Amino acid sequence: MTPGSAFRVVFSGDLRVHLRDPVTILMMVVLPVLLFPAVIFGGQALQSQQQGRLETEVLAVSVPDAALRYIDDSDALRVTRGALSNDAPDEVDQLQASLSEPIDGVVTLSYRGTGARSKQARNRLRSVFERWRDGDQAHRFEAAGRPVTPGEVLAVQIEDLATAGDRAGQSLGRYLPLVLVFLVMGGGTYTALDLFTGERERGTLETLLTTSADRRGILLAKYGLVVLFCFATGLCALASFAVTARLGIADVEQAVDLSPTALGVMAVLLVPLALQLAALLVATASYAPDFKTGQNMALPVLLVAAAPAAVAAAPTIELSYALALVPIANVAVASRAALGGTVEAGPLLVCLVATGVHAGIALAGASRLMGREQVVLGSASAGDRRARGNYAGDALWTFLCALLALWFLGQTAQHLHLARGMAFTQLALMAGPALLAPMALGLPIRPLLSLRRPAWSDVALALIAGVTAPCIGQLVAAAQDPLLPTPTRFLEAMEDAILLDLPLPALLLLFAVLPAICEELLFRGTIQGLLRSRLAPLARVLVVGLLFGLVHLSLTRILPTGVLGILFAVAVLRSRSLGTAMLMHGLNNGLLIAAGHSGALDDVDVPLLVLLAGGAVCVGAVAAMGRLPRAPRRG
Amino acid sequence: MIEVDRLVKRFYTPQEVVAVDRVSFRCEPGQVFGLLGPNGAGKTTTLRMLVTLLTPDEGSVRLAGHDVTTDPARARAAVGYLATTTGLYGRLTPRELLRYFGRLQGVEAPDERAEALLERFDIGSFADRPCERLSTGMKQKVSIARALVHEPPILILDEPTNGLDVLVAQTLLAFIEEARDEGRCVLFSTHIMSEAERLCDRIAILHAGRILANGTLEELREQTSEHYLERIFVRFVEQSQADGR
Repeated sequence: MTPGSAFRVVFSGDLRVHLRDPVTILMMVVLPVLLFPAVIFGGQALQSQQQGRLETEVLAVSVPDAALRYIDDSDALRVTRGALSNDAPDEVDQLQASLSEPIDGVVTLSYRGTGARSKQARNRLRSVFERWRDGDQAHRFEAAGRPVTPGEVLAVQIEDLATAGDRAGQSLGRYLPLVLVFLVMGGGTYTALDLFTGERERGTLETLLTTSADRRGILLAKYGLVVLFCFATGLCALASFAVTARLGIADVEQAVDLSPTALGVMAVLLVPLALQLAALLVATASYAPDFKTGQNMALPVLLVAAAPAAVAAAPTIELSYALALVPIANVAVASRAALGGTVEAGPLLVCLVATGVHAGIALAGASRLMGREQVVLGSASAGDRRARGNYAGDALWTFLCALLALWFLGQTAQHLHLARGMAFTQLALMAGPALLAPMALGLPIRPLLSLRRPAWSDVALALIAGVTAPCIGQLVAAAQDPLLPTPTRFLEAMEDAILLDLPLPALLLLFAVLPAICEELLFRGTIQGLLRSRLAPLARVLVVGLLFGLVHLSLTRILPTGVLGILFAVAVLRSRSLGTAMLMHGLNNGLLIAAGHSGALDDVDVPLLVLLAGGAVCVGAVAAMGRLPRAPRRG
Repeated sequence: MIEVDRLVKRFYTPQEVVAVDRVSFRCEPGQVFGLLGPNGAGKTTTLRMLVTLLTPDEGSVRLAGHDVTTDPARARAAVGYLATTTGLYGRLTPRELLRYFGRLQGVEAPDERAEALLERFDIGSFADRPCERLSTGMKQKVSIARALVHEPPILILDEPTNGLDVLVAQTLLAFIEEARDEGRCVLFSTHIMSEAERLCDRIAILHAGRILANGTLEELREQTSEHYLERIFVRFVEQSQADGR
């Protein structure tokens, strides 16, 4: 065989083998394509949400008495006594900016350039100063009866109190958390794989688990070891960073003054970070069928885990109470704040508590893992999993394909022509994968998607639940509003959609009937059907709800649509028919569209009691559907 | 000592597959019980349920009087388990490994117990060498010592001679005989007929998840009018297929 023939044969053979490996496809196509939309979309959504909040937040400032009357309500400023200065750290936490008394006609506007709120306060105080200056100028003009010379007009001098070290710290803090996540996870990866996948392959896990030692203790010890390795890696990296930064003192401009507090906060933050990442690693290592696959899975998992840390790179994103609840992103932004000297106690505490809760959930999940045969004996290869009726991975792939298509094709199509784009999205990108996935897997469509006629009693209950479903969406949106207000831009886009130059029946077809059929086929049909082989009913409806929330591509819509998605999923589970979910979905969307189109609810605040009553009726109707679900099939 | 009653384990394919189907047997102290069957017969699945690595779907298992479902820790404490692989930590030495498992099994004086086992199995000369640098025979000795570290009354061995050369396999078979003489209850699975013929006081023939026959070698010979275990085994399988089971 010539070298050329050998090349062709080996190249095509290896290509075939590797294209059949889902991890290769994940690494080569899905991750690179999804990573940037996820980071950019997530970052933009957060940034716009935080910017919106910053614009309306009341900020504490200090101004001289003479300037007080030039502050009006629209400035959203709270005046306190004192002056912003680096010598008064307690006040720095409260005050965002200050105007000094005029000295030789010059007023000093102090702020801290490392804080987004301080910058916002500076901008507002500058407007206050301009009104003060104009008012003062007019007063002098009136008193003197002559034009005021430039030397008599108040001038402002803007002073940034952030030190070079603070600025450098904040600048470093934009990428340091990302580096830390990579290092911490890298430090624990080999240990986690060796402790679970490696031990399983060598037979030592089997030996260990047949001793009389308590299995939870065994698992916790292994998990604890991964946490320790992750934490130690982070601590070494932090120490190296601190020493390197300190050595930079010779070059004063570049030196980063890492205070013991900043270092302490970062070291404390490493604990929850290590707990979270170790749990992820343990789950990955437990799931991987062999060491090699575990190694292959480690990189995608690392990239997915590091993605939330990328938000720290956006300087305007601060550690808000809402962000403090988001795993990994909270630690990343808190670390940057600690380095920039702008960390606030409240959100930091919430961040620590939230990560503690995450770690607790992860621990509980991890301890359940030890009871699972899969951890001891290894999960089978993809082919074998399918042979054993486990299609959970295929459900996730179907969702990812639909999400990718929606992100790139659906959004573009809707941008070009909203109505046609919407129809294309629903028919091609939602119903398409819903029907193609079972066909590709060789599964019968009707039973998988629960395509059967619902009982008449369930139809009646679905009608009631569908009519009252908008109350659920409204309630959830209202509940999350203090933490996650709906952006004005989104409301405007919704209005634009409703006021499309189309008759009501066409609007209903596009925004109610099509989504009710196509989205239900995909989510409550194919995805829920594929998950049936793997997840218990509760976990199944929660996962379906979460995926349904995510596909709406809006941070503020995840929860309301997710909760509705859960209700639709429960309806299918109890009625054993996709028809009930379609009916509820269609009624929910249809009522909202009709109300928006007619303007019936414009400027009308539906009383909370009515919403609560409607929500209760909706939940009650869904709960009353069908009989109790059968036990899940395990596989 | 080992009481297995109508044990069932199902795996789920698009159709349900019963890997172990109402398997029942008993094994007494001072007895070697052989679970004989071809690959895929359900031997390993049965043994894994006995040592609590798998959860039975139906039926019960009692080890030294302890139910594996309701009292798994005590049931495990009564068992020394030897899997198909030696299951040794490559970076630990035999001495460290025996002390480690001694502590895990709650042995009162693990260091002394480890030294006694090192002497009994003649491991002393390589006791401080990492396990990854031991020969297969040495590893097998360490593995046996590890299974005995807590003096269990029951030994469960899953195809223990799999992949071993003749000499090492002989060492292991001699150990099984020794364990029986010490009054332990020994359950082992194999598909090698000669091993079963040589060692077993009782034999259960397992095929497609079901026990086709259970008795002493003599009883099985009487039932089939065959002398060699290999022929006895084939007769039972053929009979089962003819019965449509």
